[in-house]
Amino acid sequence: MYISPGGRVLIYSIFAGYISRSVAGSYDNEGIAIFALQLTYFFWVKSVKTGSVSWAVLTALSYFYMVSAWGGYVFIINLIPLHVFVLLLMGRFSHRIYTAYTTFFILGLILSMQIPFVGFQPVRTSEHMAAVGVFALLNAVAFLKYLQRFLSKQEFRHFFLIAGVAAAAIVFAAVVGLTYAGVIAPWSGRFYSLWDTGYAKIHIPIIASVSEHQPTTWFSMFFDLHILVCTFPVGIWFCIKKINDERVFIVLYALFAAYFAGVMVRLILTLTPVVCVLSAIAFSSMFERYLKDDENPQADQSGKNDNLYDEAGKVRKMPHEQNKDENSIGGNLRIIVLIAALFIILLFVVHCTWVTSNAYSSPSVVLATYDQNGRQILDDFREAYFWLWQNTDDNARIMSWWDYGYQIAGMGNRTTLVDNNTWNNSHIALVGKAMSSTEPKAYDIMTKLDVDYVLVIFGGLIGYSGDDINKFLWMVRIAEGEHPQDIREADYFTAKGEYRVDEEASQTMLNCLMYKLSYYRFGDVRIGGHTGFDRTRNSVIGNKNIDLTYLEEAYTSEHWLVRIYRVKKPWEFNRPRIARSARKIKTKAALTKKTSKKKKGSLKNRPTIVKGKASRTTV
Amino acid sequence: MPRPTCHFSPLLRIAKQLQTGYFTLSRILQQPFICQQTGNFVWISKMEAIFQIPFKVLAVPNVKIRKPGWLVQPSAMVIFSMALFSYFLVTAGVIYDVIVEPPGVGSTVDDRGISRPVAFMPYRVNGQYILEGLASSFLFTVGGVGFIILYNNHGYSGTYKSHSRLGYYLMTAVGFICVLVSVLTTHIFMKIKLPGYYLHP
Repeated sequence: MYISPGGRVLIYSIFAGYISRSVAGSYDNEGIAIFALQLTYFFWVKSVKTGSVSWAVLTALSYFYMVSAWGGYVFIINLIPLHVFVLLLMGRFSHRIYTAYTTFFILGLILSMQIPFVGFQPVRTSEHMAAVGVFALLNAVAFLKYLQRFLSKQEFRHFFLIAGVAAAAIVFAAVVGLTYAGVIAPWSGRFYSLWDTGYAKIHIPIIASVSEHQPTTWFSMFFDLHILVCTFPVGIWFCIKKINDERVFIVLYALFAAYFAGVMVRLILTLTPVVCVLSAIAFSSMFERYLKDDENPQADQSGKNDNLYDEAGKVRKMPHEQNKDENSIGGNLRIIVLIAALFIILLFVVHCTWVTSNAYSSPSVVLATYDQNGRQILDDFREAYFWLWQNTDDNARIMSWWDYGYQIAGMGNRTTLVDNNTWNNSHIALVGKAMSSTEPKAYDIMTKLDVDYVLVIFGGLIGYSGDDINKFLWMVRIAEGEHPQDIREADYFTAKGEYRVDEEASQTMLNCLMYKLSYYRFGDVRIGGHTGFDRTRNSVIGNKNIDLTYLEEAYTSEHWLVRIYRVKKPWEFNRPRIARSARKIKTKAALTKKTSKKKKGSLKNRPTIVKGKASRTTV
Repeated sequence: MPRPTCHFSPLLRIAKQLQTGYFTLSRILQQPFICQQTGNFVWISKMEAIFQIPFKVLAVPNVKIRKPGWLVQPSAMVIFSMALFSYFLVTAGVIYDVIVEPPGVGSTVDDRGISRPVAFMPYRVNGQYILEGLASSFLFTVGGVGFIILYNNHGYSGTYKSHSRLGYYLMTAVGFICVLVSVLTTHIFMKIKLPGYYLHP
């Protein structure tokens, strides 16, 4: 099986899933980490192949690099032990594996502990215990293999079964016992949520709410992998068909990375390298088989003829060679299949270019849309932040969802309640509660938090899907986590359990602050024959007459993307109207001017006495 | 009562080997136990005596634990089928379905107020209905299988070998159609999900 290095590099360099992390604007430490990950795996495969200590040392060194770059190193320290474990189960123990793993494990353990952020975690947390357990198991198996020399086959099988099971049980019991005793920390929530997929949504909604941590839909898979999503299993098929030690590794890597990519959109990143490798295997094997000339020189000749003179070959065919006929048709078929495969690769290239230019190259703060007139730039974010900067008081406090915290602080130069680095979950929950409560209740919270302006992102007019209404359920969930008696997620769904904004939406949804702020005055806007038609949700909104009592609209950007509301001071409300007869009108006399200084009291309109004159004179 | 010693014969053998050369444990295990004239290992019989103590009380049940017949290392293609099936589920977004619990198909209200089903959740990159995920994942899998058929069908000599001639063409056509249908239909799906998805850069 020959993998052309050029082809793999080509796939890699234009690969959409990988580009998402390596374009200029989004360049992240993950861009480095994927290289380190690949390097570690490359050295690991090398060391398993050769069994040499030097390759294993290099594995450990690149693992060290990976640990210093990204928290995803946990993937390595679980995948390599898993590989060794599966090799043991398959009965593929060898001294090469023993050398490679023990060297890598010990060196990697010591090196990784040098990173301050990691510290003693490799010996104290459950994420790393698989590596320790496999290390113990590998040594036990190696010892048993040593004993095997002295025993007959029958005896050894008996003994091996007992001893192997016992060793595994002891290792397992030790890990469980130590965890129970508190020596080893249990799985942290972030990793635990990879196995128990519902865990994050219930226990740590703040992590689950990040868009990168969403479970993957088929669309994201196809968007990032395109045709390779089909050829990926073909590569697995090739590897499984001719299995050896290294291919066990890549199959395991493929399966686990695929699963993790399904759990979190972000982890498609770890899937991309193995998809590249396996697809390269698939395509190159395919081409090899279809391009290779026949072993029979005569048939070879005819095949070449057909390749060169496609139609003409048939005409000039010699009648006496019946065998050629079959081959020539095979040759035509070959060409058709090859052209189809090339066409598919061409589609892939076009797709990757399109995705890169459209999805991954734009800064997320300036949006662009395409229509008949060409490209339109939506610069609403910067417009609104500029307005904030110019028109609000220097000390004004802005309440918004935490996603926009950094942008408001950086571009608008105003104080925010929560931002992208807020670790205080209850504070975020309070903002979520304000957004999901009715206006009066939200006003209470906003007064307590001393909020001057509220900023919401609304994409209904232009069809921007990353707006606050789409994020709203997470605000509700996070608020519910802290205030379960006030906010309940089920209240925001329709009776059928759907999340909608049209007439069928629940009353709680239609009257919550977020809904009102997003759709205020939107019922008057006419788009395509409807009034109040939300293009993001594709529905006519359910509450077109929205009145605001405690807030007033301060600013709405050009495409309504950013809407800013001012929170009224307590004396500015429209007071409720009271019938004239029911009013109690305070007279001037009833007013008292008593203050602490004038405790004595004084009479108003007190008669002044002018001495020396008769008080009353009769005429 | 069966002889209990047979259960420990591997242990005894190991001990013997340790004694006789590979490890010179005899120094540690004390000379006086070994009867020099016969070469028998006295200490072994003593150990055996210790091991036999529980069996003075207990009768060893005549039980044979056999490895169950189905517990064999599965063949490569069984593993591959399992892998392909799990891959099918993952690309279908089953994990998304479990976490988010979307409806099987959506519904929308048209101009006349009639509710009609919608198979695809349009414009939403991060959302899907259960059925659309399964449909597109099925196409991915069909595409993969098509590639495998194309590869497997075409022998090294460039001609059919195991099939009849008709079978060869049929299988090639099947593989070809699988791949093409999969690619083209997923592109149509993409257009439904993302109307701005053009195939020119």
